[in-house]
Amino acid sequence: MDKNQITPITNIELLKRQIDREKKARQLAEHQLEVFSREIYLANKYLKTSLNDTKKKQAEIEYLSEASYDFSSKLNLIDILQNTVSLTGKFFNAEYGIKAIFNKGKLKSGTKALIWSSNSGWEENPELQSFFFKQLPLKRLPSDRYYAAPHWFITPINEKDVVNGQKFQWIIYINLQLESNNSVWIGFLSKIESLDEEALHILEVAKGHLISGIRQHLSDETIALRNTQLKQTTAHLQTTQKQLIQSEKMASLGQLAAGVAHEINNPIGYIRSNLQTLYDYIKEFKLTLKLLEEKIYLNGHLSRQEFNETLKKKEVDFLLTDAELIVKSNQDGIQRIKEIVEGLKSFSHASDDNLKQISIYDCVDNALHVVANEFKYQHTIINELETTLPKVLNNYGKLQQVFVNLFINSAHAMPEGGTIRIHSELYQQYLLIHVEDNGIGMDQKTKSQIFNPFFTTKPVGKGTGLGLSVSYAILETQNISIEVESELGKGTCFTLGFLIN
Amino acid sequence: MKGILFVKLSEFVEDTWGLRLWDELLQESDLDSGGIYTSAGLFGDQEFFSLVALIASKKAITVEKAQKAFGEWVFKELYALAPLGAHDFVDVFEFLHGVQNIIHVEVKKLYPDNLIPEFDFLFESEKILRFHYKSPRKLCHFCEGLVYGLSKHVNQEVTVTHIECEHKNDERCVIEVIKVG
Repeated sequence: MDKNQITPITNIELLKRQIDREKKARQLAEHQLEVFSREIYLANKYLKTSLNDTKKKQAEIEYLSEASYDFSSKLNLIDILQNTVSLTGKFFNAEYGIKAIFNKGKLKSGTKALIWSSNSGWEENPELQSFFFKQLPLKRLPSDRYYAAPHWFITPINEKDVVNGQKFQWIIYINLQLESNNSVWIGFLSKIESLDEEALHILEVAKGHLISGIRQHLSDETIALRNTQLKQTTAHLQTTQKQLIQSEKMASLGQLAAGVAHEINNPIGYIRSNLQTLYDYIKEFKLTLKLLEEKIYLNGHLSRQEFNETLKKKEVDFLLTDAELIVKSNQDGIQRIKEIVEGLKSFSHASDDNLKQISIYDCVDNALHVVANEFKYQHTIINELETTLPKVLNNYGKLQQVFVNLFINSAHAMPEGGTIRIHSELYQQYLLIHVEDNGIGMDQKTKSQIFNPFFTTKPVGKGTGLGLSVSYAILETQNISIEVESELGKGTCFTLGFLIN
Repeated sequence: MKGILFVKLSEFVEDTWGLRLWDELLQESDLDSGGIYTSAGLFGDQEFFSLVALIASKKAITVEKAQKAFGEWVFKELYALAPLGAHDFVDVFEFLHGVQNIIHVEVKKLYPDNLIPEFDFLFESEKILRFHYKSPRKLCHFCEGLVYGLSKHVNQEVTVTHIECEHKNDERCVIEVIKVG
């Protein structure tokens, strides 16, 4: 607005304008006051609600902290129920409380008429007990459903019902299922005019508490029963495991049988043919002797020259040398058979669980005999173990079973030929035995499953898939560690770790 | 800005120059509030600046001088409204600390959304006090006036200088108060 265009106004006009402004300012102030008041009112209301909630939570926490003591202690279920009744009754100011166990609609025999009172705790009070029973809907439950829905029921008590000269306003009760066809009635008598929210809240908490308490605390009988069942199951499992170990051994033995038979047959074969040759040689010796006899008979004597000529003609030198070789070879063959049979014997022997100081060298050697046939063609076995290896405390038969397993697996990993190398290493207080092959190896996925029962990469009928899982079980019981390293296409190495003193 | 300052501004103008000038100011400015102010209400900062600028032009003084004059005048009014504890100070420097520590704290409790100036005390000796006046409204001259009002009230003569001023393109406002005598 241009200053020059202001019309001079009178003082009265001025004052009028000021009054008008004051009026409007006052109205504005009053409106602001209303807004502030409303804000305060809402804030107050919110605080009141928060306070109520906090109070409820506090009551709940106090209740729970007292109640949860029961769980951490070793109280039985009956005591927990009793404690819960007294605690709950105390918390929402009931006069009397009852806990009664029923079996199919009938009070469990032998129970005393115990009533909890806020003044004097648990006491015998048959009068109050009958009063309670009169108020509870005991008869309304069908006899074969032994529990109603797990909710609190609040029923007003008839004014005329009086006991011990006392009148009550409410009976609050609940029926909860226990195991073995039992159920428990829990009830309270209250004189309070109306139950407040906090009391109802506590009841809900108590209900949750009771239900979880019942669930957690099975009666002693049930626990004893479960215990026995567990023991039986464990014993059964152990027996089954033993049987499995033995069965696996038999299975691998069966698979090796043909090979072993072949192994034994081999030396028998050449022993037989050797004997036949020996027999022929003996015949030749006989003939030679006869010839010599004849000469002496005809001439009356035998010159050295004639003697040597006859022997030369009959090639006796050669026969003698060869006969010696043949006998030696047969002796070796028989020794070989002996070893195989020994290996088999110790392997198939249903071994006990005893631990003895054994020589790993012997064990490996015996195992090799049993599996020799698997490594026949284009295979090389390098056994670098020494007889001077320290002895270990283990079970000979079971350990042999493990080695047989490892050797079979190695052989099967090298179908076209290869080398299996067995060597040892001392590491800290462990004796490590490495069984290494340059077969087809395994990828990470396979390696992670090899100790799983029934896992096999062999075609159907060729493997039981039990070898390594049983071996693992055997090693575990004898505290021998086993580790596997493998590279696909390069080979595999199993390492057994024995603790030596 | 809190309405109390507007209410007091109108009283200052009335007191110093008369009701007519105030009326003129209201007629000539285009105020959203229309000049209706309540102590507890909140009104636009711009209204305050417009009114002060108009006063300065009408009375041929600088805006700084107008602010300073208002500050000096309004001190005793604000003092009367201050919370308990603010009335115990007899020393300018102590009072200035009290403004920051007591008065503004109480104001913030009642009106947490308000933008209140802050004093950041930088240096203090027996005779010299330097503080950083922090306020987005940059009413450092108004503040200077208040300090003069305060010094009159406690009967301690001081001089007040703006050694740094945002209005002179400094980065901040630093006010120096020196006790004289």
